[in-house]
Amino acid sequence: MFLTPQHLSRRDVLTTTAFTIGSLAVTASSPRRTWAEPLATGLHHPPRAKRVIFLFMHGGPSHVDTFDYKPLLIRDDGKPLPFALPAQIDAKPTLMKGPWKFSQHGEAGLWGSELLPEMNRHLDSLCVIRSLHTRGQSHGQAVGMVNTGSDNFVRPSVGAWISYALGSAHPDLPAHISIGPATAHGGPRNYGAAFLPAKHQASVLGKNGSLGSGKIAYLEDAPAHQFDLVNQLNQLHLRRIGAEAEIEGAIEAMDLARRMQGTAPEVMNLSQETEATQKAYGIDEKATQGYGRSCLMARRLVEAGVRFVSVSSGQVWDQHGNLKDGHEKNALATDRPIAALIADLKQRGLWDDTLIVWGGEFGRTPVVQGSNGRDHNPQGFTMVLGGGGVRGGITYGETDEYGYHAVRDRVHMHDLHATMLHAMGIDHERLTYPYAGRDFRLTDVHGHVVKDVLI
Amino acid sequence: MKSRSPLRHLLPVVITALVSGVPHINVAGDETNPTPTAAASEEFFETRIRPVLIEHCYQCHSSEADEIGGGLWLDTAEAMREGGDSGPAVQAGEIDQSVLISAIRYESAEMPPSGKLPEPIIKDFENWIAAGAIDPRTSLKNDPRQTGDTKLDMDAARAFWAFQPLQIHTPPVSDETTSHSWIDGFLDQRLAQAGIMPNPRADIDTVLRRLAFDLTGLPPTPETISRWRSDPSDAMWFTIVDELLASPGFAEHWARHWMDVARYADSNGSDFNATFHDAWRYRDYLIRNIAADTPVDEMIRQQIAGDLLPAETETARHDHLIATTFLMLGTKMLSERDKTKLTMDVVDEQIDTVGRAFLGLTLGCARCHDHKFDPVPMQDYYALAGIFRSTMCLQGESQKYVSTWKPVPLPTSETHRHEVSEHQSKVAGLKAAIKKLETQIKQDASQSKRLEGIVIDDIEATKTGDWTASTYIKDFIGSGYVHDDNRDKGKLSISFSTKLKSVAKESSTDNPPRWEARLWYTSGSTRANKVPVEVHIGEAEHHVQVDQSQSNTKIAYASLGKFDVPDQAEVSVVVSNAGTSGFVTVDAVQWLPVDGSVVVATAPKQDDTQLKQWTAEKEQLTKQLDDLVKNPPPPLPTCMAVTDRDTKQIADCPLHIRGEINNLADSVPRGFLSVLEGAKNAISPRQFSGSGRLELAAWLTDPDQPLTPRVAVNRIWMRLMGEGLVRTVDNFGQRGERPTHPELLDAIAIDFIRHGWSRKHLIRQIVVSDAYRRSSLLNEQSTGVDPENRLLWRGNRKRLAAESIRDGMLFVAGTLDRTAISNPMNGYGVLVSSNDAGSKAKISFTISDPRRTLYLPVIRGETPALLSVLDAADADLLLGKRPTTNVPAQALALVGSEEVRQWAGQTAERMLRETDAPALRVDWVYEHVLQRLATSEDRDLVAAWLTSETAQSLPDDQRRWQEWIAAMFASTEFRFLD
Repeated sequence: MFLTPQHLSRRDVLTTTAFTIGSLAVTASSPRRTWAEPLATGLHHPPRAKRVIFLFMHGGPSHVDTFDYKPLLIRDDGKPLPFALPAQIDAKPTLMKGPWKFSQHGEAGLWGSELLPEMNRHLDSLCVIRSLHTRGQSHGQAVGMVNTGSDNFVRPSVGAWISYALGSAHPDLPAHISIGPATAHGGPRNYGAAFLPAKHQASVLGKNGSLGSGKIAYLEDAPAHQFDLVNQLNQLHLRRIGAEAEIEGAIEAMDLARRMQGTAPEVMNLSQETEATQKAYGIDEKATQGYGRSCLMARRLVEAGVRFVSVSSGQVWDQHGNLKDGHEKNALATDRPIAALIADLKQRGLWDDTLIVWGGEFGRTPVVQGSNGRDHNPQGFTMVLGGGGVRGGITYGETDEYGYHAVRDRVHMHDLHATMLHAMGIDHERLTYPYAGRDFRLTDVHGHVVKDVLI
Repeated sequence: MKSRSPLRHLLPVVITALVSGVPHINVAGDETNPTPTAAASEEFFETRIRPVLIEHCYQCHSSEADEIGGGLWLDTAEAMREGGDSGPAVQAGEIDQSVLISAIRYESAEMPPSGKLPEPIIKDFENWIAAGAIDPRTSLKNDPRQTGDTKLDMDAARAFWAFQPLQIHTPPVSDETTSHSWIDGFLDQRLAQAGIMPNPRADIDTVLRRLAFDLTGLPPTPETISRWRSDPSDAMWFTIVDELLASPGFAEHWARHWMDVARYADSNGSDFNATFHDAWRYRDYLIRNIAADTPVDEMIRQQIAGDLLPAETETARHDHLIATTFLMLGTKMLSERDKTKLTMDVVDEQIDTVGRAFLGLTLGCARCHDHKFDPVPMQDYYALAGIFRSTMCLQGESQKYVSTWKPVPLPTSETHRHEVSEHQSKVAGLKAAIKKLETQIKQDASQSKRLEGIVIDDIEATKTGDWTASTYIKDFIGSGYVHDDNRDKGKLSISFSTKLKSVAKESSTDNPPRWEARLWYTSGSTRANKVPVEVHIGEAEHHVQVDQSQSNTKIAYASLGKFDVPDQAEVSVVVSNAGTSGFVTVDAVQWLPVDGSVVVATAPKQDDTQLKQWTAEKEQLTKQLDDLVKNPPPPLPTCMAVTDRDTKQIADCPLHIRGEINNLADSVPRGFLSVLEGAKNAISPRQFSGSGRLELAAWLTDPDQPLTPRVAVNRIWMRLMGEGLVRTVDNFGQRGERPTHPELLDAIAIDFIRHGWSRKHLIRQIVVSDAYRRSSLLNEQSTGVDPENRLLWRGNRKRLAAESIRDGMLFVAGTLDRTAISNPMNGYGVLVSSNDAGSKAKISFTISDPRRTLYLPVIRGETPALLSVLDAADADLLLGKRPTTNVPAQALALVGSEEVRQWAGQTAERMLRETDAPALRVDWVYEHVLQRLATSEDRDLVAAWLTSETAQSLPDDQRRWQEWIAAMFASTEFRFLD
């Protein structure tokens, strides 16, 4: 990771900019790797996961109403919070129990509320980290933290780093795809490349929690004969000027674009799935159709070789008021599709090397805001991991007795990122990029791998 | 033959990725062998040696290792020299004595154990040791850089080339040169030394296209092309250069260059995409001043401290204020709730921007610790932070927790001011009058509604004597009330007369309806307590006394009694102030049916007339207000500028330990960079007139301070030559590149300063040189010696900027509109899009607008796909040199974009209109799209397309040519400047 732009030789130009497609790091001048078995040895160590699906619950689902069971919060409902509120909070210091009952699930007996019944069924293969904490009392900062590791500066997104490190596992597909990303709260920054080469920015499908048409921009608009004409013109240009690397690169890019046009629509065609599969994801029902299509798309993409897919719920989890109605609606929309995705990955043998990460930019306060809502809670919240390299059926870390602050085995957002990279065979301290005079990392100068959640 | 070297304890380290050629792994070994001098640099260590050590050795031989192999640390220079159990790992200049070399050669040991390093890497280590094993790493223990408690050796640091004063060098002169520029002397000398014969001039069409795009971002006009073709002399070249420099396109194109560095945008982006309503004024400021060739140093001073600079004219004052928008343009986390942190983040962004834009130094690195590579201690960072923290950027909140800024008024004419203030006072006057009427109407309506029965307001009563009208006590009935002012006792009376008409609930003529009479007044302790009231029912007369001094409410009533009133009988209530002491107040009289009778058809009340009058008046005033609001004078102009904080808020900034806002050390006196200061600053702290920006601006542009002119000329050189003399245009520090031609760089910088920091002068100097006009064709021999063209033996092929590609297509289509877009964000609110994640910015000007691209608003997060895929500047980051990528997305966009096809269609239409015979079409198309003559190969290609099955299946010639032209737009020849 020490290649500085000024040291690019002609060959490097070919390998780093020209002969790439989307995030694909294939080189025409090096032997074509067997892409089905990507980097068996890993970048820094053998990987447990080869791909990531980030199920982004934008807005911040309430941890104390989903996976972080707090009996004292229920007992002391309506009583004052026995310690001071953090600064810059609009909530009242009055405890509010959630409207959903908790019970234990599976063999391991992990706690889950009745809000997400379908995910609960998979708890034996999931790891519930209850001690996340992050920076940012507002969405903008916290969304930046979860997606880029920075709450204030423009930094490459997690997916961009992974794309940069590993490239795509399919020669005709990008390595990094973002489904339904938000246009606000940083917008493209949350899936951007920042100072990494532009190809690591996510290709985008849809926006704001919706898959939209499910097509990559321009992909199907380009008439095939145009590629031929452009190619003829470029070849003639090349003949006249000699073997100029940049021109060769442009020609190769045109060729790859054309191949992508041939491959991607097929990969992204959901109608190729059986009716049973579509039904499992809830595509036949209005409530689950949106997120169901996104999840099914994510599975098709990772199956084809995309490294990092984020699937945004849209900024729907932000219940400052009407917690019950809001969360129930969101749970209904996402629970079944997520459970179907997990089952599908398992059934296709992809589960063991696909890392899934579920969670929002923060959790919600155990104290009440307004009469029936909860404010933002970056001080302590829950994220759920599963699949590649993750120990299933365990919880890790704890918040205090009311669920406000992460208190035991705290996991900072940087630690989560370090852990995700670790599962992918990447040492977060050694994945660096030189920019503006220094080497940057996803985890800045922080981050510890949470080894206990990994196999 | 393996010795018991400690190095054999190394654990396996994965190097599979290294040898497989994955691009992000160091492939230094692939490069040509460095010269010994190159190996004697920190840069060489940083790029060739350190990465390998980290990658392959640190796991077992650094402070990070769980167990140290052979007692050998390889993570500091000292430790490497000391060595481990087997003795010194590295001995400077002694390859054979350095255990490290024999180990990686698999001679003394086999390191790393996972596999022998590629030969070129081993060679790098040998070269490095031979050249003195330069290694800047110091001990990590008790690193004083974390606390700012540093003892950087500034005298040693000043020896670095970038901090050296500008050196005067006489241009070498060669006998056989035909050059018109002394620049060539420097370049030719180096080429001769390297034994390279530079390329000849590019052909005339190529070189003119290059010049036109480089200077104006647009293709040459057909008229210029034909003039140049008929006289491709140097004299004509100079003429065309001067014409282009004087053209409006020049200023637009070069303004856009600086906008990249200034991270220009028309919205904030980030978490809260606030509209920058006034940013466009800065864009226009750049265009205006670049057109006028305002000295570059002057513009730097204006951008840093324009608000504090003296200004002789209003116009100058206007420009000076706008220039400081430069400091405001960064993207900010406006919703950050911790405002101390936000302030320091903004300061950081400004220091980083100023450092890189003007000095080519990455000062931001020194926020948390001393700069690791450059001589910038934390002290210097916080000396600068004091200046920017004393500068006001953000002020107030646009909504809870969300910071905003205050628009700064711009100078304007007295007449304009007067017009605006008059307009404002007229509007305010009308609004007040309308509000008053509305209150009256509302009260009238509410009172009539609230009081049942028949109500007679005081204004409808017949007054005798001088009653005083009042509205002092609110909630009165009708339009107000009257009082006797506690004077003229016995002289004042007021009579309320009406006819009572009702229909009894159960119609009975025997019992006339019964009414209660009430007198409404305003009570209070100063009021009279024995107010005489007469009630007349027909001829009958009743006397009542009312005590107005006591009541629970301010507006009170007293019942005057209940009376049987024959239908249609005349009734009146007369209040007098005879014999009273204290104020007598009268508001209204109310007649209330008390037996269930219902009031019918009261006599038309006088106050209806009043109401109608008020309503009419209100309508008229409202119309006047509408007219006034619709036709305002132009608003008083504002800009997005900084100001100094109040004197008492101007202060030095404490050093923030590890950059943490809650971990403060002593304040650091405001100042600049120690490394660029002589000993003078050490003697006495500087005096500042305000925040210190004025002094900073002067210091940045001091002709004895070498970095600013070097960085400035290098940026201009890069735009024209494709690469800077220092290729890392934003980084002149250790981690940046060294100048390929240091003497030339200094000579240009000195010439630049001598010519009054004139941008146009410098550009002219460069584009008349032979070097600028060289062909870009490859040459096997020269490529072999200098593959990266560092010696400039050929022209660098340049990818056109996104703006030029789009503008070029519009130009060829004949639809480019050369007007500017003023005030592009007019009509946007606080935000370009509402701040829930589901909304999208409203777009006033789209990519299909026919104006030049630089005039389209830059809305952060909403860069049009066609532009972003062509590497348009990402306004989130300062960008001295755009990357030129070649991703398939770019190919897809060029081939699939609706706009490109539309412009191709317009071009085809224009071509068919302007050519008489089909035989001329190919010529026209090549002439216009690529600004060159068509060759026979081109003609064959076009013919093949036009006769192809696909083309023949298209409906007409226009469609066929549209397809062809669209392909040309997407072709490499169109996108590149050969």
